[in-house]
Amino acid sequence: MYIHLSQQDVRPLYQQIVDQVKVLIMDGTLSPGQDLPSIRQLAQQLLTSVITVRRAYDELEREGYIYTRPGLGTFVSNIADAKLEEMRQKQASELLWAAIQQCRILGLEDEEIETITESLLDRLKEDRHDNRG
Amino acid sequence: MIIEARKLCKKYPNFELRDVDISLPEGYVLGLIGPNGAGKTTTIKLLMDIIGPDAGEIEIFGMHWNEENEETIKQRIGYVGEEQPFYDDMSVKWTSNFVKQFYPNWDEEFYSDLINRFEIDEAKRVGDLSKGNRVRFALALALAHRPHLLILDEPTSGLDPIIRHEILKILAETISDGRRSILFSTHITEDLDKIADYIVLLNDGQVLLSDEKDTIASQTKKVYMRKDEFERLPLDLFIAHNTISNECVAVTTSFDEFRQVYENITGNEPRAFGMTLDEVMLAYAKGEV
Amino acid sequence: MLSLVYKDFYQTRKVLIFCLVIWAVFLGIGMINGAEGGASLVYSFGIIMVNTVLTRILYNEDRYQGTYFMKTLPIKSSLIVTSKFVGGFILVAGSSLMTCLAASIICRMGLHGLTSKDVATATLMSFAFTLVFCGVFLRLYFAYGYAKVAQYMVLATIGIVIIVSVIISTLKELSTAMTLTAIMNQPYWIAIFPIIGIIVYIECWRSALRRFK
Repeated sequence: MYIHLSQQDVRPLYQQIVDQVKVLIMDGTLSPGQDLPSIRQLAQQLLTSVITVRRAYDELEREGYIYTRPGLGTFVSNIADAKLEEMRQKQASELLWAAIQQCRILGLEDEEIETITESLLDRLKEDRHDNRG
Repeated sequence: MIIEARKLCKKYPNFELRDVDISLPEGYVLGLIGPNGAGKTTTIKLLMDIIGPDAGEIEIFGMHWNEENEETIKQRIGYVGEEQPFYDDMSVKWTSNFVKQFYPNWDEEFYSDLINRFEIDEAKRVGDLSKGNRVRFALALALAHRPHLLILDEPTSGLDPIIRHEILKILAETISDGRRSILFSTHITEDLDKIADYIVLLNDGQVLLSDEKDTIASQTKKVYMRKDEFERLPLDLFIAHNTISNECVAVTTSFDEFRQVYENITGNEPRAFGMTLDEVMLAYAKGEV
Repeated sequence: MLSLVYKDFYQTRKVLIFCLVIWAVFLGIGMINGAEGGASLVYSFGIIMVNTVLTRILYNEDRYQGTYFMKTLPIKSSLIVTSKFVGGFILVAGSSLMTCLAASIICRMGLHGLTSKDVATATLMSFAFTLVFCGVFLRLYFAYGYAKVAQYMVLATIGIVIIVSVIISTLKELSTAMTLTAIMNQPYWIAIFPIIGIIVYIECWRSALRRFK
């Protein structure tokens, strides 16, 4: 699986791995039951530290995205749709939270943020409408 | 522990190494970083028993250096020195024939494999090899006897990014079975810092920082803020800072704590960015950002 | 350890051949030249050969950081020292044999009034002095490194060549003097010198081992 690691990203490397694996699982690139590379294999592939990958896998396992069978390997969890939905919500919530924070740093008030968000969603609806038509 | 060194001291007329601790568990990579003259080569020579410490203890594979252990320990170590001392007027073939007789675990097939992969002409005199090939040859010799510990002193200095990447891949491959360990020193951190599990930062003969690379990365951040905001924060959160008119950039070494304090004071999340090990080294060693 | 000794000689093989040429030249001069000096040259061959070859070996090690290289390999550090002393001994023994051969030839040819006793004396004295020279050279090398030692050794070589020549000539005259006749009539008195030489050599070796790191 392709993971991009960036030094400049404020998130630690293991967090970048966690987030990207989550996305790959949630958008279906990695299917439930699919086996993942071992910690050392992924470390070798990404040319990164073993400890980093281990931490990422530990967190992914803790949050229920993957599971390990000793001697057999690591696999993508069979995540029930409801759980998947819950995770999507959580992920989206985190992304929006970060964006809102940024806006507030810029000095925007809550109402302004709401207004902009709504107009963006409207634009999204219009674009979809145009594409169908 | 593959390497366990405590309170190493070595004194020279113009330089002194003081209280250096190095610990490396099996299967991991330790990067020894620091500016030129920081003491990295001295530390490695001490670990390799090329020179003796004035004080301190060294255990490699759980053994102390002494007359009985010397050979046994060195048979399990692969070493690439900063200058790769070879007899320049001898051929590559002669050199490998000379070296291999001292290693009972020499894997001739693996060695040939590496030599071919590196495209090294065995008939050539070692002194006629390009710098890149000289290092690659040294690496081939070091890896051919399947060492449990690989010690590399500035293995990539003077090499182009392509060869550096190649070496990085070989190191990653070496470490992938979990039974070997690597200690490398470098003052160029961009490539090698990726695979390091542990980092020891040396400056002026002393250890400034010794921790898991992840911890360093997650806690050492470059943060941007207004000057007045910076002035309201405790100075001991930072090891470096710079101010231009009403803006400030600083390096914090306890990011979690900093973030908390910053949010309490400003109500906002801080503008923070990850740093390369080069930048971390600069901040610790020179207080520069 | 033998591989280390072999390595030293292999790397200086050209110098060894050159010494053979010098030996032939000395022999030639010794055969042609009617004066006393001709025989003395043969006696001093040992020192010259050892100095030339040893200088080259140690220069090599210094230039290519050979000692450092060997310290990174699984070689007992004591062997690094010992291999040099073993090589040195082989060099001295070899040059002494060559001295013996040259002196024997000159003796057989009836030149310079050399007796077979003189040949034995020359050989054993050459062996003894050369061995001491070699031992001191190596001991100083391991203590101070090549650069410092090299310059002194050139002077020492020249000095010893002169001294040995003088001693051998003087001894030939003295052998007719009464004071030394009794000693010299003991058949193996001359064996003292090589024995002392060996003792000194071994001491140099042990001293170098103690100090080596």
